[in-house]
This record gives sequence, structure tokens and C-alpha cells, in this order.
Amino acid sequence: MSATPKIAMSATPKIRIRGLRKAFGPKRVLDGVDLDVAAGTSMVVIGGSGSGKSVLIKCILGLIEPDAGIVEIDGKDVLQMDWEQREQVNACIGMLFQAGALFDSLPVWENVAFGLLARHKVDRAHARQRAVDVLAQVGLDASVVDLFPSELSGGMQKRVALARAIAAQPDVLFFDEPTTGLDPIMGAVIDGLIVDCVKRLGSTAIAITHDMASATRIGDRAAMLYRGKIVWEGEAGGLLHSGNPLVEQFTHGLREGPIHMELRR
Amino acid sequence: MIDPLNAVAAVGRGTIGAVRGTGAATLFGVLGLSHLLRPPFYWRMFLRAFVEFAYFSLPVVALTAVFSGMVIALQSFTGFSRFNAAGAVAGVVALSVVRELAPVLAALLVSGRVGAAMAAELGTMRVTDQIDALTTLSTNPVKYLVTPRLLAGLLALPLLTVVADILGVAGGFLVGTVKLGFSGHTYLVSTFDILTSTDIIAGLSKAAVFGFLIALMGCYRGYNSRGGAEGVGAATTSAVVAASILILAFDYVMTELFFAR
Repeated sequence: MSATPKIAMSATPKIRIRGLRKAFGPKRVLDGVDLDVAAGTSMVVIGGSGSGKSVLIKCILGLIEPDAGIVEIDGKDVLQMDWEQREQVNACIGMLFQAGALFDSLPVWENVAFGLLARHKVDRAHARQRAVDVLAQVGLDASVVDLFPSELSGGMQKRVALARAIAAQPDVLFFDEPTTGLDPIMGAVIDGLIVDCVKRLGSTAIAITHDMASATRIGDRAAMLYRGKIVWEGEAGGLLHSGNPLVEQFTHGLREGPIHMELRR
Repeated sequence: MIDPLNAVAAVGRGTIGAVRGTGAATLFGVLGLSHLLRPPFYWRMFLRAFVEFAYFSLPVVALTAVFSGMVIALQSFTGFSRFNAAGAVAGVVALSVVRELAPVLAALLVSGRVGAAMAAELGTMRVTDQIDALTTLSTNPVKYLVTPRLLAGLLALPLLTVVADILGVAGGFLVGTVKLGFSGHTYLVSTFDILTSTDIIAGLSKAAVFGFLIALMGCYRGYNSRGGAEGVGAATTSAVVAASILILAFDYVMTELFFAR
């Protein structure tokens, strides 16, 4: 996935965002975001804490209603869709939440097979077998299928959440801070699994992170969100040498530079 | 010094907030019920909620009903014997339990037990993104989480009330026959003579409405909770308080509807 994507950006992008705006009270979190993600590529959106990365993903997924803008998936504006149409779009989407968001009242296998069961695509026996197969793809054996999320370590929960995201073989995958809270080795393991899954499924992916190692491992392309706008976009491999002072300061973790942290004294 | 305009503004804000909250909760309930008419229906979630409502609440409701019946028998005997009306004890126990005590006490107890748990569960799901996860898995969160609970509340409380009716009357019977010296046969005849079908239907109708209100408040407050653990705690408290007040308010309204002449 580190290779430059060969897909021409002039073709209709899988995901197209134009002029996306969202404010909470007086705080403008997204202030006209424009972003294209070509089919089959992995886009990493970086940005500081509170820069609106999660809000961006939630707007695309329909979890937050934006104030203005266009979000197109496969050329269709998902913001104009009713709930039933949106459900059909979401059926082709997988999402890995920052903290996993596993259903703690359900065992691991039901978490993984939830989408399949909820849409009544398979019976419970087949769903369970499908869960076992998908869990194997993320390196978990059958001994965990009947455990509850609270009985798993943080790394295992992330893997189960990844298994749930890919169980329905989605066209589009979203990853919200996939390595947050994990040690560097487990972070690299999760990143590797993400890359494998995206490659195997041929999916389009958007990941948001402020972990530079993770960003370069996961992404084909990268974009930086700052003050509600995309201020830089390019190859993920070029993140550390972008030449953009905002990106340079962020990726190298410099105190001095154009980005000023708002600290109260 | 208190600025009178600020005081008026505060009253206005409070009123607008209360009206807005009532409207939002009502719409939430209507939305939840509307999913009963639109498949799929999540039967497993319904059964889980029903068992939580009915089965696990049974011991506490049963004990409360028995002791309430016993207390009413004792109190009414000591009061009525002053007016040579001790013979009315059985009727008073039956009417008090069936019309009021069984549905209201069962509802208040279930509100503290199940309503609070419901708000805490949905609140935790909200703040840990589990409700958002449902949406991304093409599952309508209201249909999956709220509708089965509303139906469970609507159906489970009348069942609990039937049990409370029987045990409350049995409590009164126990005190009446063992302590107060009534004959068992006379006590039962007096009980069945005074009860009408309207009494029973009114009690069960109240229970159904109370069950719905408990589930509605638990779901509404939990579903809309914000702000981590503190928000979940606040949602839980407000769910129980709101449900308790609504139970008592609706009890009056329904009593007016059924019994006011």
C-alpha cells in the first residue's frame, strides 16, 4: 500500500467531498472541506486533536448532519438520501471506531457477525462460522468467539472491531485512530492487518490518525486537516518531507511553527 | 440584588426547555412505536427486555405487594373499627390494591430497577459509540434498541400487576384471617363482591401506560445522554425521576378517566 496508486484522480472518485461545513455553536469545526478519494486507494487524514477529523468521518457516515456541503459515494450524494437509501449505502461500508465500540452485551462472534445477522442475510449457524473465519483473518482463533468484549485485551478488542468492520466485505472502510491506546508493536500489528484487509477486499479506505508511523504504513495518500480545511494533500510517503510548514511542524512534532496550540495559562 | 428580568428570563428558559423536552420525548416515543409497524422486529431484544422487566422484577414487586396488602388491612381495620365499619376491610384492601397500589407500586419499583438500568445501558452505548456503530452496521438504533423495550414495558407491567393484585389481596387476607379474626370465606366473598371488571381493567390499563412511560424515559434519557460517565449518571437519575413523576401524574389522569363521576 505504500506504492503510489495508479488510479487516475480524474475518474469519478469513490468518495467526493465538497464544501463540507459543520459548526458546534460558535466553533467552526469543518469550514469547507474538499477531498477526493479514488477507488481502491487508502487516504489518511492527519490533524491535531480537536481538528475535526472524527467529525469529518461522522459526517461522511451520516452520524452527524453537516451544516452544508456535498458528500458523494459512487457519485451519489449521501446527504440527500432517506434512511432506507442510507442503510443500503452503509451496508457497503465498514467502520473501525477509535475505542472499538464493540457491543458489550454480545459475545465476540455476534459482534463480528452483527451486520450479517441484522440484515438477515444468513442464519445464526452460518453467521457464527463466518465470524470464526473472519476472526482468523485478523489473527484470532476460535477460543475467543464465545467470550465477551470485556474479557479481551485492548489489542484483541481492536482486532475484533476490525473483524466486525470487514465481515460484510465492504467497498469502503473507515478507520478512526486505529492505533490509539496500543503499544507500538501492537499498533504495527493492527496497521499490518488493516493493510492486508484493505488489499484483500480491494476496498477504498479513509483513516484518520495523528500517529505518523501509522499514517505512513496505512496510507497511499494523505491529507492534513487544519482549522476546518484540508491544507495539504499528497502521497503518504511524502508526509515527512512535504515542504508545507504546517505539515512539517505536525509530522515532526515541533513546538515552534505556524501551528499555535491554544493553551490557557 | 436579584434582577427581576433575569428571574423572568430563567422562568422562560425553564418553560421553553420543559416544553421542548416534552415534545422531543413524545416524538421519540411515537418514532419508537412506529417501528412496530415496519419490519424487521428484533424479537431477541424484545425477549431480553421482557425478561428484565417481568421476570427479574417479580421478587421485589411480589414482596412489596404482599406487605402493602397486609398494611392496608391492618390500617383500615384500626381506622374503620372506630366507626363500626370493620367489615369493609376486605373491600378496601381489594379496591386499594387493584385500582392503585399494585400498578403504582409495581411501576415505581420497576422504574427504579429497570428504567435506571435501561438509561445506564443506552447511555453507556451512546458515549462509547456503540449506538453509532449500529448505524454503520445498517441497523436503525431506534428500531433495535428502543422499540423492543417500549413493547416489553407495555406488556410486562400489566403481567406484574396481575401478580401484585393477587399477592396484595392475599396479604390482606392473611392479616384479616390470622390476626383480625375474619373468616376466610367471608373475607373472600367480600373481596369478590366489591371488585368489578372496571377496577381490574383500570388497574391493568394504568400498568400498561406506566410500563410504556418507564421504558420511554429510560430509553429517551439514555439514548440522548452526553458527556461520558457523568452524563450517563445524570441520564439515569433523570430517567427515574421523570418516570416517577409521570407515573403519578398519569395515575391521576387515568383515575379521572375511569372513576370520576
